[in-house]
Amino acid sequence: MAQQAAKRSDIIPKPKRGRRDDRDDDASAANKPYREPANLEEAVERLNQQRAVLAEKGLDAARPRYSDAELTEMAKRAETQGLGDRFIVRLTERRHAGDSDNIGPVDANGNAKYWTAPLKTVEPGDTDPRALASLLGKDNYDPNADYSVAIVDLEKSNLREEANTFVPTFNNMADFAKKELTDYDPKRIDEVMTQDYAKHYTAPREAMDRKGYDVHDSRQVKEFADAYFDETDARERFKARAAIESQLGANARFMGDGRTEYLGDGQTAGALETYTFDRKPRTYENLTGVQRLDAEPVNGD
Amino acid sequence: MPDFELLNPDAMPTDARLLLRSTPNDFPKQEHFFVVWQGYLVVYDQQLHYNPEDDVSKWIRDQVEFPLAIVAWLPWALEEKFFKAPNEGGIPAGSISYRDTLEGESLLMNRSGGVAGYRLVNMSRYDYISSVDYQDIQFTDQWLFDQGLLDQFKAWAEQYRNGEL
Repeated sequence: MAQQAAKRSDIIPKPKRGRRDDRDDDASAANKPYREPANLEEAVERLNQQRAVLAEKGLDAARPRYSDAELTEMAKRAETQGLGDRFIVRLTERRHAGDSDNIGPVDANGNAKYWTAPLKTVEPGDTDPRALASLLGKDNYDPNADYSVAIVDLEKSNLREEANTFVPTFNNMADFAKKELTDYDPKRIDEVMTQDYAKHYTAPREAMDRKGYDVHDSRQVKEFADAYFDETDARERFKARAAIESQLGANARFMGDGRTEYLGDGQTAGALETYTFDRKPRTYENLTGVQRLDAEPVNGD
Repeated sequence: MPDFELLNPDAMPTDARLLLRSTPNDFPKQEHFFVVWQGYLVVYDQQLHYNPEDDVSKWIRDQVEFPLAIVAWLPWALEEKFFKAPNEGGIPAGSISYRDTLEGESLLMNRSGGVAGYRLVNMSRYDYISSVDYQDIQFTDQWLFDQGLLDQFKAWAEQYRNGEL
């Protein structure tokens, strides 16, 4: 399909933001500026339109709407102004997707994994799980897994008051950790939520795995850290970072960028990333302001 | 505020009473002993850890201590602070943690996102493994809601209120 989408003869040269010259898919959301839908129904309709584009033009039309620089700018803005987005898209991979299933991370056995992003940055991917996986940097798309997509209207949803949704940059994650994990020294949290410390975390974190210690078990973290580190500062930093991993979910691959990695060609970032931390286990039955959609691959490509 | 020492489950103090032995499915090697001791709920835990890289096995033992009223506090905090919306008395919008003082001891409870659950910290007491950390215990969703630990706490809370615990 990539070849078909690249027919130059159909191109009318209309320079637009985010548009590339060698595409003939002007109708794709990737080429249109974002207009915020008035409600969930309109958001769904928007995705249906994009689905028709993908069916005709193929997955190549599901490329990022925003450039690397634009996404970086959005992530920076989200640090000072918060997330201004009303609509969030959530791609969930799970074994079963019944109404009573939890919408968040369920357990260590990976019963449900999910990725979320503002609608404006993933609209080009429609509800096609392959396209969304590519925009969201999920590099192990499994054609045999069960995917579901949901649009959350944060203005109407109980997640607005009962959860915290933010763009996971180092600064935002540090602020969240300092506010919620108040038994940890805020100075340590600031020290470890940096690009520099991310490099230092990898080696001891891998040693922990090799030695059979579970980061989610605070006893095992303490045992490991006491034996591994001679220096107090390094030990305390590691424990603070491990707590952010086990309590807030930012694992060793967390790069604090706020953007997702794009798995297609042409640019490195695919979308703005969002994290949602809920205060309680929640199922779709007790979540308001959400529309669940089929997450089937688009046919015809 | 009494000072405790690490319990030995094979030689319990005569004034300590074992309420429950339980292992969370999420951490199948952790065995927990819920004990009433000197007006406190003391939860001792042990696990045999095997380090395949160095081919060494080692017992890891730890303990948390809370005023006995914790048996009523925990279900209350979950239901009133974490399960309710801010306008119903729950914790403020966007927050996932709650601080409180129970009989002079400073508590922190936070929602956990790694293995879903709640972590309860006693910030008035230091840990047995690492003396610079506070005592904490991880109550996973599976342990609380699927394995029945929350119902067990509610039953203890009822006994506590009736002066029977």
